[in-house]
Amino acid sequence: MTNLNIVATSRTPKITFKTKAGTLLIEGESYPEDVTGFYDPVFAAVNDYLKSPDAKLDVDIKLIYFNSSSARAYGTSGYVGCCRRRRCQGIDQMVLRW
Amino acid sequence: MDFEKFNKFGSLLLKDEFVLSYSGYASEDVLHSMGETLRQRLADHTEDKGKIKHVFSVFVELMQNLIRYGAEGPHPTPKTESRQAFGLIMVIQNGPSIEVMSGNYVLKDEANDLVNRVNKLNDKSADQLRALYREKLRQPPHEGSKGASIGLVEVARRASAPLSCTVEDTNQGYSFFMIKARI
Repeated sequence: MTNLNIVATSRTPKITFKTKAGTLLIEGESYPEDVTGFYDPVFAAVNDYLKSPDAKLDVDIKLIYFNSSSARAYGTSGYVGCCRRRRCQGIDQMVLRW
Repeated sequence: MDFEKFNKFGSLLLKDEFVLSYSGYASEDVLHSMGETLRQRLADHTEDKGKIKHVFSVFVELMQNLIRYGAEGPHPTPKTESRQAFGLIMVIQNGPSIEVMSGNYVLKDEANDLVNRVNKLNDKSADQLRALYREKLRQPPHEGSKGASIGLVEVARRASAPLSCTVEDTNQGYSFFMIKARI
């Protein structure tokens, strides 16, 4: 299982994924040049982790700004249920816990 | 270009209270630098954080549409390997509102399709736009999608008035598509 520690840039968020603790933190800006290139490895690592039967995940998303391509990356990832929640639409910050 | 023409171009822009403009070949690097400048200038200009966010968001979506779907236009440079979109983008203060305008070349056939898409979005209420946005979130981008799907919906949602757009035909098989969002 892969832990992630991605440093933020001015257009991509900081991502900290700790498999032992079961926490995923996504924080900062999100309008990457290559959305799939940026998010695919993240979702792959999380999906891989979620395959284990006792997996639990605490997702904390604090995005200052995200463009529509990033929103769709989350929307099509399937497990970040944010997009079905009203709070996700054009807001300053969203915090999800499941 | 002579200085008179050059100066005229600059003076046209300076009539407005707030302006940021770019014309030429657009890239993600241009988007990024302009976006950062825009944010800073907007923050000096208004305290309305919601407005800053809306303007920035519309700017990013229109610029990314231009980069992804814009054509090189009537003066392509066959020597460069990757396609580069030629376009024009402007952020202008107009009375109490800010307008974001972009223009780029598209193939003639695509121009009408784009205009139809914009008109359809204008017919929708805020609730319908939100529902459409959510629906698009769960769909992967369609292959060879010309003239953005979710990006335009986002622009329509952020704008405080209906979008306007128009098309200018050129005689080289291209049309110049222009769109304006007011926030």
